[in-house]
Amino acid sequence: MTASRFVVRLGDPRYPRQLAETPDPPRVLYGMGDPNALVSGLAVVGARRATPYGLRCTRLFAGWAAGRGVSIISGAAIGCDREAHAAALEQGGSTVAVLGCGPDVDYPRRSADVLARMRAEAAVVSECAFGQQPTRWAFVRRNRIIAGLAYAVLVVEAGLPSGTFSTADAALEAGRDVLAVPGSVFSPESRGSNRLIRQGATPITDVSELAAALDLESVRVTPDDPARDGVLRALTADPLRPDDLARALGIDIVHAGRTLGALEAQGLIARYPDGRYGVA
Amino acid sequence: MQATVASATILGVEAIPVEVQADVSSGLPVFGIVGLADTAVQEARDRVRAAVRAAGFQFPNARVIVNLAPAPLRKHGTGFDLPIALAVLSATGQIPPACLGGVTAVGELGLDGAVRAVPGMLAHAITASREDRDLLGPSSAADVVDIVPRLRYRGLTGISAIRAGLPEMRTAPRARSVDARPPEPDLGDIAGHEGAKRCLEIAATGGHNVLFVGPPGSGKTMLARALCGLLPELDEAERLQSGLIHSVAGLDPHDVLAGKRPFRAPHHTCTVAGLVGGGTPPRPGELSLAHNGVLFLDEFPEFGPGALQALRQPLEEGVVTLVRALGAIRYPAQVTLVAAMNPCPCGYSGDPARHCSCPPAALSRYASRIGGPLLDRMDITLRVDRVDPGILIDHARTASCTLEARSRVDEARAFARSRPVSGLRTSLEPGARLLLEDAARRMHLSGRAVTRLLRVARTIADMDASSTVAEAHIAEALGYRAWENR
Repeated sequence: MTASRFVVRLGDPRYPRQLAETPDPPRVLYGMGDPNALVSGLAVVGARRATPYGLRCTRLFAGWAAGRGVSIISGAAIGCDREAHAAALEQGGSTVAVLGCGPDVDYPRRSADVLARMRAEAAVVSECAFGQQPTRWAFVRRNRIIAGLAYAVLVVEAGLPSGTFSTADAALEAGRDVLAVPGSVFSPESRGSNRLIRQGATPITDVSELAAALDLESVRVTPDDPARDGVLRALTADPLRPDDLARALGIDIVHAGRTLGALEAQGLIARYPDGRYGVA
Repeated sequence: MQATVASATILGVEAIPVEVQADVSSGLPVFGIVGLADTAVQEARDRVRAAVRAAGFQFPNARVIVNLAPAPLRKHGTGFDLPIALAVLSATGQIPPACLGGVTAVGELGLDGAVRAVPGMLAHAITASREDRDLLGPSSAADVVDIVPRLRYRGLTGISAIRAGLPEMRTAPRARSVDARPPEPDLGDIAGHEGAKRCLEIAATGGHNVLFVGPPGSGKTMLARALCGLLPELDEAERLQSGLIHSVAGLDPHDVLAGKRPFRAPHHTCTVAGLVGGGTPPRPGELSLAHNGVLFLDEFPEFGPGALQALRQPLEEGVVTLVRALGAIRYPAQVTLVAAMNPCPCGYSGDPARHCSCPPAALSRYASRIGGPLLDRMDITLRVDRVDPGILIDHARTASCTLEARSRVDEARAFARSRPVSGLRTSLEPGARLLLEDAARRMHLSGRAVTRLLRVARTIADMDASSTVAEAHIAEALGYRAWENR
C-alpha cells in the first residue's frame, strides 16, 4: 500500500480544530492519506439501503458542493455514503471518510475501490488503530466524528429507525446545522429525513438552497476583478442596460457583457424583462 | 417538312430539356402549339409570326403544328419563342437544319424580331454546359451566363442575324466589377448600440439567427441592414447558387454574381408562397432569394401565422421543399435570419420615456404569435432601446467600422475552419462547465436553450481565437439568451 499513514492526537496542531471543540472529541485520530485534508466541510449521510432517488440527490448535492471547494465528509458505507465520496472524487474535490475500523481496513468491502482512491487522493480517518477490525459499537461512535468534522450535516435519505439519526443527534450536540432532503410521504426511506425537517432541519430542494445554507456565495473564491465590483456597485444603485453600464464605467461592451453574465450565473444580479440588469 | 430544335423549361432551379418539333404541311393555314404549354407559350404564336416577318423571313402560309416533347411535362415561360421560330424556319428551309445541331435555343421574341432574355438564363446555361451543348440566346444575357464554366454561349440580338449562320462563340468570361463601396449603413454611422453591434459581429461569424426586441424607432432596422456589410464576399460556388436563384426568379443577378451578399426584407403582408416559395409555375420565395445572405423580417409577429410556421422546417434544413403533384422541387435556403419585433402591441413596453398602454394579457399574446418552435431557432435575442439623444448628437463618424469588423469576422471564420472539429460540449473548460451548470439551474434553461447558448459561446471563443470555450465566453453568451418566461 502506497498511501502514507498519520496519527494526530488531541492538542496536536494538526488535529482538526472544529472536531476538538465538540463535546466528546476522540483522543487520537488514525488516518491514511493527506492529514491536511481534514478541513471543515459538509457531511453527507444517508441510508445504506438507498433508493435511486437518494443516490441521485447525493450525487447532485455532494458533487455540486465538492465542485465548489467544499470538502465532503461521510462514512464510506454502501449506498448514500459511498455515492457522496464518489461524486466528490469525480468533481476533483476534497473528501474525507470516517471509518468504524482501522483506516487501512477495507470495510465495507463494496467500498474498497472508493477507499483506495481516497487514501491516495484525500483522507480516510478513524479513532480505531491500524488493522483493527470493525465492531458494531465503533460505527455508532464514529458518527460523532463525522458530525464534528463538518460545519453542516446533510441527511439525504433516512428511514425510521436509522443510524443516520445518531449523526444528526451528534450534529445538534456539536452545534452543527442539520440539513435534510425531503422525500415522498409514501416512501419509507424518506420517513426519517421528512421527520427531521418537521423537527426543524433546513429542507434542501435545490442547489441554490444548499448554497444559501452553506453561505457558499461568500465562500466561493473568485479572482479579483475591479470591473466586477464596479458593475455590482453600479447596479445596486440603479438598474442599467448593458450599453449604459459600459459607458458609465468606461469599459468595453464585451467586458461588460461577460461580467454581467458571470454575475447573473452566480445569482447576484438578474435580467429584467425590459433588458436592464439589477441586483437580484 | 419537319425540324427539331432543342430547348428547355425551368422546374425549380433546373432547366429540363425540351424538344421543340415543328411540322409544316399543306392544308388550311393554322399555327398550333401542343404539349402542355401554358398561356405564355400559347401566345408565342403571335410573337413568332410577327418576329419572323419583321426579320425578313417568310412565315409559311400552311398548316404549322409545333409539339413540345416530352408531352407530359408542363412547359411555361416565353423562352420557347426563339426555338419555335427556329424550328419553323428550319422546317421551311429558310435556314440550313445542320446549323442547329448541338445547340439549345432559349429566348423571348419581340414583334420586331429582337431576342430578349428570359428568367432562368443561368439555369439554362448550367444545363447546357453539363450536357456539352452550345447555348443560343439573347446577347443581353451574355454577361450573366459567362460565370458558368465551360459554357459555349452564342448571343443573338435579333433573329435576322441567324441568316448569316450561328453567331460567334463567347469563351472568355468578363471580369466582374466588384462593388468597392462599403455597404450602407456603416457600423460607424450608428450611434450607441454597442451591444447590438457586438451581436451582429457574432451573428456574422457564426451564422446565428438574431432577434431584436425593442420599441419603435430604436434602430432595429438599421442594425439589421448593417449585418450584410459584415459578411465576407460570396465565394465562387455561392455566387453561382445565389445567382441561379435570382435568375430563376427573374431578378437581376448581377450584384450577387459580383459577390454581394443578398439582403431580403419582405414586408409583413407577404404571403406564404412569397416567403418560402410556391405558386404556379413555382417560384423561389424571399427565403431562397436570401440564400447565402440575410433575411430580415421586420415586425416579426405581424407576419401571417402560416408564413411564420412555414419558415420552421427550411430554417432547420437550409432548403425549401415544395411538394407538387408532379414531384418535389427543392430551393436552397441557407440564410441568417434577422427578426425585429416590438415588445408589445403598442411598442412601448419597457421604454423608459413612454408609457405602455397594453393590458398585461396582450403582452404574452403578442409574443406567443411567433410560437416557441420558431423562437427556438433564434440563437441570439437582444433588447434594443432608443439611444440617449446626447449620444446621438455627439456622435461623429470617424472611420468605417464595418470594414474593420468585417476583417475581424474573416479572421474568426478562418480560425473556426482551422480548429479541430470537436463536439460542443467537449471543448468546454472546467470553469465554463461549472458556470453553465450554475446558470442553467438558476435560470431553468431548457435543453434547447443550453445547446443554443453553447453554439453562440463557441462562436465567441472563435472570435477570441480560442480552441476551448472558457468561462468568459459562456458568460457573454448568457446575455443573449431568450426571455423564456414572457
